[in-house]
Amino acid sequence: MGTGVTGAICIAAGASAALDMLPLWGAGLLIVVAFPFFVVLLGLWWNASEGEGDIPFIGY
Amino acid sequence: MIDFLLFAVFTGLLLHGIHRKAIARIQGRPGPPIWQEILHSLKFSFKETWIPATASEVLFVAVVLVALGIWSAALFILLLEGSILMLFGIYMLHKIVEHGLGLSSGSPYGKFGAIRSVISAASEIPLFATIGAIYFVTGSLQLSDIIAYQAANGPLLLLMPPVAAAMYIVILSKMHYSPFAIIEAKEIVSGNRTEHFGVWRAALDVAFSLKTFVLLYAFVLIFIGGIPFAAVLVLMLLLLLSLSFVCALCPMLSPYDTVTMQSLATALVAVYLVAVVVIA
Repeated sequence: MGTGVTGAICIAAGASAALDMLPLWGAGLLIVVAFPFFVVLLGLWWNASEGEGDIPFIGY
Repeated sequence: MIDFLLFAVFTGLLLHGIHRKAIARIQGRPGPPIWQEILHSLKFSFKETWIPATASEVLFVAVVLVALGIWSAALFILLLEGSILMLFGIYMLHKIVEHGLGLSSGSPYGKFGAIRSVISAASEIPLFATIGAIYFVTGSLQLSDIIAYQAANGPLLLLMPPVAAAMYIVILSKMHYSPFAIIEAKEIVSGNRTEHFGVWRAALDVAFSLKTFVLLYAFVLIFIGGIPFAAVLVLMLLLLLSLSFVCALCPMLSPYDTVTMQSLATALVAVYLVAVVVIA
């Protein structure tokens, strides 16, 4: 759900800027906000699974 | 715009792969294929992912998002020929990302990386000197003005080579396997990125590929000027290969030696500027 929404925002912002419906800085701002969430949510959507949080090595 | 962002991500990852390949060949090893970093990022994104039990959950995830956001913003600043002072600001925010990555995980290796990133803040001093010198010569920090200045007076690389050398050291300090890369030295595993694995590492790879693309692109625009984009890409590749040579042939410096080297670079720029003022 989140992946699709953030991906759609990125594409819509890029297309709007190309069609002069949105100033370049405005499209850039939308993409700067949406793109990080898109990358992380895309990975969390297709990754192998979610395991239990482990305790890293914290010294002897 | 999103198409250029995706292009920059894949080109940045490819540049990382070329960097590793070049270092390996210089050191007499076959090295990985140049598309290895693209495959790496994909591989990490498919892996099992969680947040370590010792981590500060919000900060652990937030720094990854911030890393992606700031370097996307930096790319658009270059694309729109905005102010290089904003690029400098983003470089400062990247320092917060480096601290946050290491301190959020609860791992001692990450914390060592974070502490070393404080020391490596010395890399900002040559950048500050570079920006000051550029303003002194061109009278503007707007990238469009700097490009126009070079169109009229020739590339800044030829007009002020010590300043270009200082910026080169700034970029070198942010490359993987650099003599200045003390925050991710092997003796502290992967330094501040040690506990960021799986999807988090894939996202960081994307962010750092953007960082490499932006820094190389910025160097070409600031010191060569407005040239066809294909020529920009060729120059970025040549710049990267020169950085690979340095990384392959120089051992990693101790943390305090990195500060000394970067302070010397700043002093060189300061002496150069004084000399320019005296001569002028």
